[in-house]
Amino acid sequence: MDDEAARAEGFDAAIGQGNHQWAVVHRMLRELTGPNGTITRVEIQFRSPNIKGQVLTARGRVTSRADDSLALDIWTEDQHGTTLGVGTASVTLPS
Amino acid sequence: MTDTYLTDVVRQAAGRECSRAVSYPIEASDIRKWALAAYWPERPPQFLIDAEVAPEDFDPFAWGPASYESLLPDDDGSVIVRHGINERALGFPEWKFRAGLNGGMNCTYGVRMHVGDVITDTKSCGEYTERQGRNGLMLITQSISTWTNQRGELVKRTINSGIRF
Repeated sequence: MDDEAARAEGFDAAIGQGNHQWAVVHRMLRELTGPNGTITRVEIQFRSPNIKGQVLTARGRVTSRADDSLALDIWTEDQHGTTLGVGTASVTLPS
Repeated sequence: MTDTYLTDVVRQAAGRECSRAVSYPIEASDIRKWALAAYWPERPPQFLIDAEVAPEDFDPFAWGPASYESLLPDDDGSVIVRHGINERALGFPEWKFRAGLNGGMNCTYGVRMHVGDVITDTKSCGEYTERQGRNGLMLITQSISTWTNQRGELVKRTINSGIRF
């Protein structure tokens, strides 16, 4: 989608795929697990599209831990702190 | 104005397998290219540059499948739906929507993908629901993508949700 088509739909600029937010979330989780940990589940609801010019940041908060397994709340936000996507994830840390 | 999108045909389609795609064997350079794109403009971690194991979100279909087949007998091939569900071949009504949005993704991962693996993606129709929103009656769609490797092991199962109004 280009800027013109996006504006016709009411957006400020071209919108990106949700997969972009998905990739940023997985980068964040991978930084947590390191190369030998695993991401076991990710769920995210897209509340707002990421649009051209935004700077995406993924964040997470550990909500529970059982041995090497962590459960997290996750979200993505733009450079103004506006939440774009929210969800949960589970990862396993290396033993 | 549509009273409901959920005809009997739509309701009964839940769980029906719609298409199957098979990837080319994964190469180390595929994983490296994926990492370079996902981490751009930063450099990916070295373990993804030299990887024998793909990151969980790696997509072996990013460069197109080695083969693709529809599993729907009514699919005449006139609509290519590689990433979703061929609703026309399922006999769904020809809805007219003003907008369609990616509502979200829910993915459970199984075994990791390795160099040399061949992945099969089987797409099935999920549950369709509807609800009233600011933009009128919204259709909430689900497509389910199940990836297995050449040994039949589950790689991941993803539920993709869409919103149309």
